[in-house]
Amino acid sequence: MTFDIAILLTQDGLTNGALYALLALALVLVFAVTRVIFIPQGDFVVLGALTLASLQAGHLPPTLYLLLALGGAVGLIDAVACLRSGRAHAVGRVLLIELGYPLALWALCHWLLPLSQSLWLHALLTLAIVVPLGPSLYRLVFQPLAQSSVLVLLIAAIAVHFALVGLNLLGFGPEGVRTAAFSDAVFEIGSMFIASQNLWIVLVSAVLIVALYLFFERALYGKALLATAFNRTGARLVGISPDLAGRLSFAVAALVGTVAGILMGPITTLYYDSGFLIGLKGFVGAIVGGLASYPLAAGGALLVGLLESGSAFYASAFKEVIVFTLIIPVLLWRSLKSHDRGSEE
Amino acid sequence: MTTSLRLSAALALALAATAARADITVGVVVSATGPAASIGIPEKNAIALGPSEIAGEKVRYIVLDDGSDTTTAVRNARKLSSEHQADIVLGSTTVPTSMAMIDVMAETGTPMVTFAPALALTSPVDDKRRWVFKTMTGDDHELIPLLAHMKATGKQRVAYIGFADSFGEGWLKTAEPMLAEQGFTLLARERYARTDTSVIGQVMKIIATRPDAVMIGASSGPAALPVMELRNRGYRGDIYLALGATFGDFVRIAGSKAEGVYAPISPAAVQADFPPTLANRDAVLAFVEAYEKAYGAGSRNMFAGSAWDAVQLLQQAAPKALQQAKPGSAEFRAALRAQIETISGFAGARGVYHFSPSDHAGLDRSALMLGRLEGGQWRPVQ
Repeated sequence: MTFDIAILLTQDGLTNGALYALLALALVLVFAVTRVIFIPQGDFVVLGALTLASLQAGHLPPTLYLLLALGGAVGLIDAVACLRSGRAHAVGRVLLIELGYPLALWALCHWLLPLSQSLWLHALLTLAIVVPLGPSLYRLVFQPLAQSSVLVLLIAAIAVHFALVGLNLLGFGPEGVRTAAFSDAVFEIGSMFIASQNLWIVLVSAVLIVALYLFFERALYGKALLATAFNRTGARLVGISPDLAGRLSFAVAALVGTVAGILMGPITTLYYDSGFLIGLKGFVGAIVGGLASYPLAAGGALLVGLLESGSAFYASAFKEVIVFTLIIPVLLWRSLKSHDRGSEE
Repeated sequence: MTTSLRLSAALALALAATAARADITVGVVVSATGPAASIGIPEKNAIALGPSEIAGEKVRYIVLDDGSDTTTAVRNARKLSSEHQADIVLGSTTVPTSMAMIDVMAETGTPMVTFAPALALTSPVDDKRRWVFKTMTGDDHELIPLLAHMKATGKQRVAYIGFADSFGEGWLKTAEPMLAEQGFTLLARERYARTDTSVIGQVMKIIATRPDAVMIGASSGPAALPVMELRNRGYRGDIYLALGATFGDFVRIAGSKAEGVYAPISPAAVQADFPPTLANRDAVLAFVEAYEKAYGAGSRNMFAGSAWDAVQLLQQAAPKALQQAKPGSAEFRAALRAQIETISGFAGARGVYHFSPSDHAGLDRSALMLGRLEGGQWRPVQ
């Protein structure tokens, strides 16, 4: 291996690692707040990329139907809950929010799509469409199960994953997509070439990670999330709604996933079912952090990225084997270090 | 109506049904839904164009969908044999579904013509596989035009990258001895998964060995990934792909980056003019005319060609088998099998067939020709 190749592989590893780090952070957050191991995290990546691709192709993304269907279901459940608790006056407002938002977005897409081809506009629309799916999914699937064991929540998460993969196939078809790049520029530093898309990925990931940090440290909602993650019962006692915390953490997870999808779209071909493996690699990173530590999870995810590009060079036939085997020594080390924390729940 | 009258009426009806069984019954199993649907549907379309009469006997087609699922394929095969007394079964679409049907066919003594590619379906011709024939080219057919071109253009050092699954391994396993025999050096054997998002590592390793040509054992959309990466990393040499890259998503995803790559193509799928020296030229033109008349201009494809040829083989074999036995009997099925085995030098849409008691793969070495991607279209290299 020459120096040039080593640089290139490191670059590739860091780029993928940055994306996995985003996913790992979201996984840790969701697990800490809701105890859900969020298998569909990778599916949000795919939803983001596929939605952006269909916007760029000038179609109305099928994700809008999903948003409308989920919104309708959530609206219905919340409206019934309002009626039961005797707050009939709130029904109108609930339905307006849950159904009005998708419909307004629909109209907006209709109006804006023929007008502008701007990548930024498309990216914003993608975020507006995909991110609300996160809290809706929490409301529909996980909130009623909030008191269940980690295992039940995991099973529900797997069910959601399969449902999303099926819906992706139905809506977007089996064809792979590649979205337009943010920019095609290539920088040359010495003998080194750096594609600007890779820079974008690393920069946006870093910005998002810092933003998440500030959100947790400075914003009230962020602090509420952090408090719930530390101690659910305690947080509840001081007046933090666990439902709100759950929805919020799913919104953050969906946001992170969608951003990762928008970033990943131009550098690789994504298919309706690509999400699982991507999410799994983020999960390996999160496991390195014991599903609890944010910096360790991010470091683990970077390690996964570097290991992946290195093993692709040295032993491509065993690439996935090497990446996923990483989890075994980590689990061994963690089980020696800590006392059976898994069965606490 | 008295009971006895009712009974005799039922008996008469049953007898009439048996009498009607003199028709030739063609059972068809295709993957018209599921992952292989894009291949199964054109096959089904081609079967629909089959003749309604062969040598004065009516032909009845019973088409069942296996949903790309092995269990369903076996169930369908059994149903065709036991319920419909099929004289011959055509299909199925994929290697696993076809492989699973062989046992049923051998057990019931029914000849089967599959549209799936693997050589293992018909080779070696043993007690079970003597009932199986195929009309689809295999890995060896794909490699013949590729290696011929590499030889003719003076290439020696070759690198390989392909799927890390049975598709890629099968392709490499067929290629290795052929490459060695013709004096090529294989510099690198790299693998990647269909779902991979990056092949930079593999591509850098390939480029570092400075090959004259790169062979890619991959199909459809995922085959585009190494092609794009090789071009992005400045590889200027020739790239040779598997037949699987000539259909599906490859051209759409790889776009202009794939311009000038080579792959084997079937005359039955070529949209441009092909060489007038082509051995099965008339057969291809007949297929294209009939198929595009029914399904629109430009709809020709090699999968429909394979299914079309399966019906052609039946049409060749049935008249002689009819002289030996009546349709619906075990003797007729055995005669049909024996007759297909004697077909040699018959030109179909996919190529020229030479069957023999030791070779049920049929298609001869020239079934595929070399294609080059020009302006987003696969064109034959003259």
